[in-house]
Amino acid sequence: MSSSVPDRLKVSPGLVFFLVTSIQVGVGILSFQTTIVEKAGYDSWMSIIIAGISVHIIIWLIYKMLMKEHKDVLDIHVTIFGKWLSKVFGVLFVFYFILLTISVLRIYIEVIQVWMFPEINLLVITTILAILIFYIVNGGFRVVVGICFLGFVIPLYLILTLLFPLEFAHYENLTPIFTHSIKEIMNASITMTFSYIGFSTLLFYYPFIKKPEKSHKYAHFGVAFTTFLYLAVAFVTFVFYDEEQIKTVIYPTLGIWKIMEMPFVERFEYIGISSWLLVILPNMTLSTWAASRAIKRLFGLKQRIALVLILVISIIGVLFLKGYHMIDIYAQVVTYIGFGIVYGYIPLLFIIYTIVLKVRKSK
Amino acid sequence: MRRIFMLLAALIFLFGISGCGLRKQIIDDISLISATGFDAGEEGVIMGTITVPRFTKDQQTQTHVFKAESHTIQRNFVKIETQVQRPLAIGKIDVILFNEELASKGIKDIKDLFVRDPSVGSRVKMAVVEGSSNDVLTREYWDQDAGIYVSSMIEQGVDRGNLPDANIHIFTYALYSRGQDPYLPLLSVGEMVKANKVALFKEDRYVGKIPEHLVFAFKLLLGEVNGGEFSLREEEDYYAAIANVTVKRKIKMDRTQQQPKITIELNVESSLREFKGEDTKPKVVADLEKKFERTLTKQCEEIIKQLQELNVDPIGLGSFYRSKERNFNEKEWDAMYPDLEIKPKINVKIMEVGIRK
Repeated sequence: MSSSVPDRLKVSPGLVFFLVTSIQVGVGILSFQTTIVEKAGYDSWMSIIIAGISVHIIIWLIYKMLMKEHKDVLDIHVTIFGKWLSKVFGVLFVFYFILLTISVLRIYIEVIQVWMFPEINLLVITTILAILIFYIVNGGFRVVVGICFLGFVIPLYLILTLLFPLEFAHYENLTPIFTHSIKEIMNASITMTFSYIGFSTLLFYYPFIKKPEKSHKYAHFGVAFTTFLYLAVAFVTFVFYDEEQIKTVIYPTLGIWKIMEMPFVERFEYIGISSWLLVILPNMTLSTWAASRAIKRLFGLKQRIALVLILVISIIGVLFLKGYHMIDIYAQVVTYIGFGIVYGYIPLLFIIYTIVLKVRKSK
Repeated sequence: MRRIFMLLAALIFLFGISGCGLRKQIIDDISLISATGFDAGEEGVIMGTITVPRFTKDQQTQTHVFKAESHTIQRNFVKIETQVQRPLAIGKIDVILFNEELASKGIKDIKDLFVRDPSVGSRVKMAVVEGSSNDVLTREYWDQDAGIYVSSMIEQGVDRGNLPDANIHIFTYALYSRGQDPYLPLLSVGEMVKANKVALFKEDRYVGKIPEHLVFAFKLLLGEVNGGEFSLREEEDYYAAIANVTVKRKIKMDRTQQQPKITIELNVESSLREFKGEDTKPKVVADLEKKFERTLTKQCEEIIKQLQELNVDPIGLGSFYRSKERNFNEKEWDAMYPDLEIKPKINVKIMEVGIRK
């Protein structure tokens, strides 16, 4: 099967902005502060910028690679590895996207369990969300993009909630800078990149973009916006919490919401967590879409059947993960795989692909 | 295919909206705790008291008070749970009280119980009680619930009066901060319960208190006065009070010597509320400003001396020093702090004199 896509299924290049940001911002933003502060203290805001820059480089690499022949990653695999070996690498991506979906879904339900409804029935809530994902992905890529757009625009008002905690701000927390070594800051940068990954779905939806070369800058805008968002959240968290205090908090972003009290709602985190479903919905739909699309391309299965298969696996996976520590370890494993794909596999693929194309041309 | 799917979806949706197996919590069927108090008993026993407001039909509120004692807090709640008519819910708790004896043993563990619970807000007030917190919560406050009454009493003392702001978040922040020690309002118990003193903490242990007449100056030193009141009383013939006080604090650090010299600059703006004397001519007002400055400086010096003797730093000077000093060491700072030269520099301005000359 080739990767050519009819024009009516394509989306305009500007929407890549939403596709990139909305999959980067997910459950990570609820807790990334603790993990980076453990490594580099309150110098870790630099790590956010460093990690953001590294993502820009990878995005640039991906576009360089894809724009050569305007093919998606599965075709590139075929070009490099041949017909059969390419399937193995494709399946790896499928597995990664399924693991990612499970991770996001489970962490979100974990947040609901801890903060709102400890007695919630895991199977029921997972099934309801899975049906929602099926409904969206079944509508095709354009619907998925629509959800990414809405998942960006509707929760945007949550940025305003960052102003409330400033009542308790201690701005002196931010100075002096560079109290940590370069090594510690780099270490935190590596941790921080976990909050940026997920954009490797770009490798799959690239053929669905109209005039894809024009979308390059929007992808960069998307990453820049994500960086800005993480910086803003980190800034507020750093002045709101003490450096030692923040290490004792599991979800600092939700902790910030706890300080807001409004006349019509006792505390804001209940509204925040509910709104958060819209933030994580693009994560789950886009990665399940990418996985189902890959299965269709690899094995010629109908995409709808592939989708059902993926969601059933996801539900079973979610049910197996129980308790904070198990979920935490699982999420870490998934992020390590993601890290390997983004910073190991993609650059490698870029190099091999460039060489293969050169050799072929010289023949 | 499509029809079957729709049917399935509808079924699961119905199943879902029936509550995902959630237990209902209807406000009339639960006991909302409004306040809890902890007192030290004998041999490490902690006595816990909770208040539950009952709102009656004629718009009056009754307080139901429950009490239990045990070695752990959770066990106290379990014991109280056996006494109540409806299940307890902690989400609406407003204030947590500790008596002096318990507070001096450390309250971190008890506080952490509330920090760990996601349903407890970060604005929950904490306070120390002279005497017993059970006494405070069992008193009658007209037709008000005891917990809500005490909580709003502290709140208005913070908003309008001279009490410094303190909630569970501020306390936790100061507890973890490397250059700051926590403080809490201290309730004195006499004929009336009054929120008029400040309890000072070293780590999580209560070590000393700021007496009532110095609380205003203490709040000034924290730099957060916004609408407080202060009366001047000297043996001379002036007697005056200022209100609507606002303060801008600047901390200056001279780090040329090995030990930093600290100046706390306080620019106070206020309006005259009460004045027994001649007309408020500019010269008289200027004279009055000087008198206020002198009294407040003396009071601030007294407070700083007390803080240095106790080696506690609720003002957060250490945190300020840390933000300027690259090689900050908490132990060194702690050793240095009692002997530091800390000077208050107060500048009082009376902007308004009211509507009488």
